[in-house]
Amino acid sequence: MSNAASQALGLDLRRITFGNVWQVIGPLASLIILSLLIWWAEPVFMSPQNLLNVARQASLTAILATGMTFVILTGGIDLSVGSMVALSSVCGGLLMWEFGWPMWPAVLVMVVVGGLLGLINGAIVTLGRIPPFIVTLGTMQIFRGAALQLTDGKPIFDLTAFQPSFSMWGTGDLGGIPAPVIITLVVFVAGWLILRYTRLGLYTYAIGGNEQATRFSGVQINRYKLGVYGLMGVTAGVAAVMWSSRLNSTQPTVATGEELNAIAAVVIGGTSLFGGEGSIVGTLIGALLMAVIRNGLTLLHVPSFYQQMVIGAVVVLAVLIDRLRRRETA
Amino acid sequence: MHRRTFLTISAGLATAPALRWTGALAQDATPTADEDLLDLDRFGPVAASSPYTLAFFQPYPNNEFWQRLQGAVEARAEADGVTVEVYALGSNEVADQVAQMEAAVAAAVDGIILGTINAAGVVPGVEAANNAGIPVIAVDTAPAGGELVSLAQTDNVEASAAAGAFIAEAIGEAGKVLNLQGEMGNQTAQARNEGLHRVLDGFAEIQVIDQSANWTQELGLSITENVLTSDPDLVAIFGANDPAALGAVQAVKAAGRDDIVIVGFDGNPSAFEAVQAGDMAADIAQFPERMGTYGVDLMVLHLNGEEVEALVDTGTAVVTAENVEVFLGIVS
Repeated sequence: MSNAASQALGLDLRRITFGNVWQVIGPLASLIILSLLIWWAEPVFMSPQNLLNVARQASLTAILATGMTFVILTGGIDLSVGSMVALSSVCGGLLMWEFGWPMWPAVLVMVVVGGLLGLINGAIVTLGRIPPFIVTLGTMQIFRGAALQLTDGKPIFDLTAFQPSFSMWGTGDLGGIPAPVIITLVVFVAGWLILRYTRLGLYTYAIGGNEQATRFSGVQINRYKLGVYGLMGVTAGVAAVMWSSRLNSTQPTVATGEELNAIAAVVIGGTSLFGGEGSIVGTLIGALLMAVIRNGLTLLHVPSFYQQMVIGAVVVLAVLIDRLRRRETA
Repeated sequence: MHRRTFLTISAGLATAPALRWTGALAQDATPTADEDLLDLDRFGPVAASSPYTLAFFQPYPNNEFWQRLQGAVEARAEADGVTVEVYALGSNEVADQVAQMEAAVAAAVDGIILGTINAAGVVPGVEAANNAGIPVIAVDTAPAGGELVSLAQTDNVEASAAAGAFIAEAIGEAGKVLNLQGEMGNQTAQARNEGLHRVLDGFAEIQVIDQSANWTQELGLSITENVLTSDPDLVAIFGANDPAALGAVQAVKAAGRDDIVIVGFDGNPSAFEAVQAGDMAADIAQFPERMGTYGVDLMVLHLNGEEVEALVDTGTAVVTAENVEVFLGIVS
């Protein structure tokens, strides 16, 4: 992407690429301070075993939040991600369980189904010109309903009894690093590269920054928006593979409400809900921060309702800090 | 849908008479060895004095528990010589269920058997039936208001107290117990929490760690992972529903532990399989078949002009390795 072209889009490339460091300072500092506090209160927190637990437990939110970062950067939102995970998972699970498919094709189906569902969202948003909030509020119900319909509402447990190798995605490890953590890192790095080095990444920021200006610059924004929602769907498909393997089951009700965790991770990570500004590094930190809070408070035997309150407070605080930081730099 | 392992258990019912109950069939007067396990004929079959039309409100058509309950309603309606119209709820909206009840009232059905989606929200529907003089019997959950002829439900407090007693005995009345609670604020979850604590709090040597798994396997798994880290001396886990308990099973297995007593609650086939495999020590089973059958019989008795009990406890059973085959036979 040439500098001239980006200038034509009214885009400050420096702010995108170098602004990131400052954007993530807040969440990063919160993550470090919180970790130290929990470590002080409960020494076992820093044990390698527990840190792997945290990483594993952050994986679902982190993967979905990677896709969600793209969507939110365009100024959109996707409320259907939890349902997309469920429907993708159910499709692959049924193929293995009911039709005896081998592991690899079934896994591929989960990812492809996720991508297709994302494209459906994207198509309705762009062609129908309906706000993404409304579109995905609807598809959230449609996808969940379809998942329930396909399975007759029943969970399918013990998938590895049919395809033993399926366990590798959720419970396997590579040199001691759990598979969910590796998958998360792969998704994260891919997301980071796309956002930083591709046309899709640049236009993602541009559309969120000023959709009209981007359109008038001759960018076919519908094509790129479709790509962004498709990408969101693919991450949901990947999450479905990893999570159904980790749970060793496929459940039509899985990942209910997970869209809110993904959105929270993105927001905590400093990405603006109005689009155009934010970073994927912050998102990863946001997902880790939420997992650390849940893990730490459980280690300390804090009752569950306090955990909800703390996570809610962190979300509000993150946005507040972001607002103050912006006022200062403006 | 394709059946897999359950097929092998089809002989389960045939072996029922040979079994002795280790777990109490709560509220049942001294269950004898040859008692019919399901005990469906407690109130009937009743010959209806005229061919009544009943309305059955199905709140969760996709849920296995409610599918079993509905099957029992339909079977007993046929036996009693009445017609049953099923009002299945497609959404999770209580407002839709109220609208369905108003439609049933307008259609002037003779009686309503209500599986409610929301105890508080459904009250206007119950009142609409009351005002029209149509009798209502609730199954599983009581509406928060309005008048009922009868209520057939599991006593969740008693049932989880039975789970507590089982756990206390299994762990020698000492040690740390993880309580994977249900959805916070949910009536059933509170009852199960209460019953477990009522028993376990009575033992000075038992420490209960409360964490809400929100009825999910995901949280059952991750909370157990965390607690196994902070409290490696954990000796037992209670899942307030089966998915949470199955999540705990996975965490415990992954940690390479086989010394932890895990007890679930619901009576789902997958939990029975876990009990059979030795991964779970016990599961608390409810009897949706009884709720559906009793609901119809009680309604027909009432319409025939007889007095019926206002509250019927449909009981629970502690399913362990010893009697799991029979229960797998019921749900297959």
